[in-house]
Amino acid sequence: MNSPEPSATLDVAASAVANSLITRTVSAWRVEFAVLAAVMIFYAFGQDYLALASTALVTAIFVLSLDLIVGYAGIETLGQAAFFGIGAYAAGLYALHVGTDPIIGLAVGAIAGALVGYLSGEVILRTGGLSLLMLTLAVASVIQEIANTATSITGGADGLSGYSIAPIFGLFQFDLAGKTAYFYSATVLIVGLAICRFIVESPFGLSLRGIKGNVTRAALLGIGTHRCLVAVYVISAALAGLAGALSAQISGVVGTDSLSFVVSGNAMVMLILGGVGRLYGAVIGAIVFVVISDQAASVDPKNWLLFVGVLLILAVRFAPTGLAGVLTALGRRMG
Amino acid sequence: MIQSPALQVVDLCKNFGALRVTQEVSFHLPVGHRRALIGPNGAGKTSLIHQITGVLRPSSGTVSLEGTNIVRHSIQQRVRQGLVRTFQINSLFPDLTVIDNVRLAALAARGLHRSFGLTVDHRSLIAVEIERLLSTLGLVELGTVKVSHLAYGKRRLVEIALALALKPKVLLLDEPAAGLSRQEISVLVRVLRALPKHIAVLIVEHDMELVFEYAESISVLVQGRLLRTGTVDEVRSDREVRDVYLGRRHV
Repeated sequence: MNSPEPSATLDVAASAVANSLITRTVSAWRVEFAVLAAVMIFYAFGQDYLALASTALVTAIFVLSLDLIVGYAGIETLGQAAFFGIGAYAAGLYALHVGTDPIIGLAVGAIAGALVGYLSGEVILRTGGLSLLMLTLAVASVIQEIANTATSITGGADGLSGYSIAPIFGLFQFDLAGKTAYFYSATVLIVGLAICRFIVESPFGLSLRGIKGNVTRAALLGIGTHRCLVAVYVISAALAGLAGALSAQISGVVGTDSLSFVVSGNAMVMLILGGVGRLYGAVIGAIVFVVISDQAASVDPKNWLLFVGVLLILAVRFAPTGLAGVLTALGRRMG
Repeated sequence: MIQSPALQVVDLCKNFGALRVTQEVSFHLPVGHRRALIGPNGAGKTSLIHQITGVLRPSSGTVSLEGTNIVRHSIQQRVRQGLVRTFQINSLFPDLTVIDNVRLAALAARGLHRSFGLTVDHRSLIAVEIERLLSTLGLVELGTVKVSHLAYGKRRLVEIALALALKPKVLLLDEPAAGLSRQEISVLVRVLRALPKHIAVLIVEHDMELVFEYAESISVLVQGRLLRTGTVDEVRSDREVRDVYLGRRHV
């Protein structure tokens, strides 16, 4: 069959349908540009806080990976730290024993995360709801326990350290002020954001939202729901692994606490705070959470978590769609 | 060559223990034919639909789609082969817009639902198809509205749009008029009349005005058995059918 004449068919479709597609793609790059602008502006004024900012950026990538499965596929999880930690250990071990190239290290972290994501996802994604939530938690706990026990490989409770990272592309040496680390994390975040947006706006992303909204009906359309869920779980795990690898390279140390429930739980809090299912909500939530925890910890090192708790309660009460939801509403009001 | 019927059911039986919900039901639906399936509540209409679509496994008998026995095929396989149904209770994607609901079905029908991007050709093909479906169903202005914000009657139309986007050869409509106003039913009839000629339709419906107006033939199911199959006039004037189901009102 001949493919239809694109110009002719597009004319026919130049209507609500086509318009909704076009406006969506044009407006979307705004997020990447906004992040880029924020990164530049912060660099001009916040030189003293680059280390904290890098942490925030890495955390944002991790929360982004969570939004991909929670916000778009409806996979509830409390074990996302498993992939972050695996990625961190993989990148750390790679740097320690194999090679010091940071980009390859990132890839190693992402692949390690994806592999564990596939092996666990293939099994646990056959369940749903609370059972799935508990299984994600169980997988992460088992992996943390393994890391804790296998001291000869992971360094156990002392953590993994003593590796060095070569300059990025052989050009940008990691410096004490953290400039390289800052731009390195910012670049990975922006690329990650673009990839995630590409995925959620693709036909595959639409299938995921369909599965999230009505899994039975999605299956009745002939969509292999389990395969789609495993696929997005693997992608998300790869991104989380990437974030872990980045963290390992920047901080120079990997501890078993990177696999802990606290990391998974905090990421979920950040996502809810920022706004679920929007991608940029994950970035906003992560940055706000990291900055506020840092401030709160310097005011009251003992009870700082209390501030964070109050903040979350306020957010859920007054901004149930997250900070991103508030921003969207404001933007709409101002036209 | 004689064309195989779009849908053929032969000696279909289904027992739940001693309860015989489907008893030796046989009928066939020629390509493009519009048949209504009527019968009192509990006659086994839904069980029959479930066996045709693959929700229930019949105890014996065969279901054939264009001459191929599909009795062992999964629900999804049957959908891909062109056996599509609508649902009595709305079963859509509430958080997606009308366009995205239809788009998802159109993508799935082409096996494109797992792709990360579409070629320009595919994209315009699908845009045109969504456009065409929405305008047939009078849903164009509602395209960007979330389904959860739609009125009930409109959702039923989206349900039909979804089914049509799956490119059915045989379309099973499970009480499409239930809960609709008179006015909405007249829209529905117009939509059903405008369906492509090659689609065979089996409509389960209690609204006799719609059935008499739309169907070319009627099958009457009573206690799991096909009591009668015939043209609208034959069934309407059949004494036995009148006694068990229609009553005097519709004569």
